[in-house]
Amino acid sequence: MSDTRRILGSAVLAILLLIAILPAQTSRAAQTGDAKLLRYAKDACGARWVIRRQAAKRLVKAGKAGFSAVEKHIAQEGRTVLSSELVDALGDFDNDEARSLLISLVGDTEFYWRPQALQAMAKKPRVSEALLFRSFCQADSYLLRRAALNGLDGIATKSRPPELGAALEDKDLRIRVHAAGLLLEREDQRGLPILIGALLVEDSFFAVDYGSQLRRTAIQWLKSWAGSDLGYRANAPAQERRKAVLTFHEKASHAIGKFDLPTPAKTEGTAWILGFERRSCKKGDLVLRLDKKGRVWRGLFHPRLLQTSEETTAKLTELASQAPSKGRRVHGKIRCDYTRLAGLGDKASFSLRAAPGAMPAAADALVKLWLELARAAEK
Amino acid sequence: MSMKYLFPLLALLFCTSDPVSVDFADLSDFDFEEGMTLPAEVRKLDGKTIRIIGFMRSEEDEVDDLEAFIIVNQNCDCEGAVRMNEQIYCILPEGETVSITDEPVKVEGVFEVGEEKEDGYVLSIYRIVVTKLH
Repeated sequence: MSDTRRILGSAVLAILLLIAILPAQTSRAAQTGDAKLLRYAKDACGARWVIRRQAAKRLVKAGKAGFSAVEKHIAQEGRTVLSSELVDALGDFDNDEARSLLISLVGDTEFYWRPQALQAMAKKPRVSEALLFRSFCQADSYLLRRAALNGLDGIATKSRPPELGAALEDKDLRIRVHAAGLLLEREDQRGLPILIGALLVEDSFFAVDYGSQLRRTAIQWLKSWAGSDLGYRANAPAQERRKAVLTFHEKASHAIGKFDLPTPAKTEGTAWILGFERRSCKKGDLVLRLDKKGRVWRGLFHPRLLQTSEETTAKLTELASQAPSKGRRVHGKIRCDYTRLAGLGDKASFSLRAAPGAMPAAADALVKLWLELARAAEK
Repeated sequence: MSMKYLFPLLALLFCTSDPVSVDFADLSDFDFEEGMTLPAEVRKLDGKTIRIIGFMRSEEDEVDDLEAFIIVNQNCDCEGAVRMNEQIYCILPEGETVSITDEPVKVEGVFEVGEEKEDGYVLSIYRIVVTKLH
């Protein structure tokens, strides 16, 4: 009997000890977990962009606790530290708080990753957000317009959102291609001529081949539609691409009726000698180029000729020759927005890229003149 | 033949063989998940000399005196975050350094495929031991 009592007594003592220890252990584990999540939040906004995406994914995996870590990090450092990767991941959290944060970021005109925030929302769009998405269909930034279309497309599960059809007329070919692709996914083939036309697009801002980037997007949509890329290689020379384009054209004509194979816009004398490129998540993109005949063009893919005087183009050339022509080619920390200048120096062979506020002083006058030209053309 | 000579000869063979032109589209046509077996089309490039065009980035924010850099398929984060299979870690020969340039670069070298990790994070799945940089 006394043995039984002793054993029982020990068991009770052990249970009491466990009860006493467990909360402490659990709270320690929670603290370690919190510290880990805070580290992920910090890493997701850190300088090492290679790991930012992975850290952001881990926060999403942790659910509510992961989002709390994001909130704590923002409370400590401010929302400007948020990276594009973490903003994108906010769209994967399934809680209203994350949604509210995204809405607030989208509404903040000074926030860097505004289009990315709208795109994050577009991953799991809510019907109640239709008005918000619609309000960005005419935004300056093509990235905002594209995210808005994605959101509206995601909401309209049954019917086709009219904004997709309207976007086939967008001023930016990238949006027209995107809208055509989204429609194609809904078995609406009216954007096929746009997509096939995009397979032929050629345009480079000096060494940066924007044509091949757009061709790559177009072939992805067409590949899903046709079940094959028909041997089309976006980075192959135009001659080699032609055969597959003709086959796509034939296939599309069969599907929607005969249409002329779109011819890519041709700008005479497109041997560019000077260039200005502003990419901006805030203000939208602006591309200006001077050709060897002294004419200024605005835009990519189908550039528009601007009316400029000989005096102005001479001034452009003069300022470009005085701008930096050697040394550092990247200035400041580039996040989304940057300005690129090409055709600089005596030999017109230097180019540089700068984050907002980091343009070398020697190029300031040139930037100012380019922007004046664009403004004058708008009037 | 002694093993002592075999490896240098193999290395020479790799360096002198014609580079295979590779595009980012070839490397990124799948959703990467940590620990996954990479697609056969990608694995078959392991150890081959390749040539690829991309935009230079540094690991953090440095611009000059880099012994290694990363090439990606876009020149800013505007289009969305760069995925793991859209970046290649490029290692320069010992003693050589480079500065980040704003224009696309053509990189040639021996391609390595497989996860490389640090502190629990995957740092790269593609690497190039650079032999030429234009």
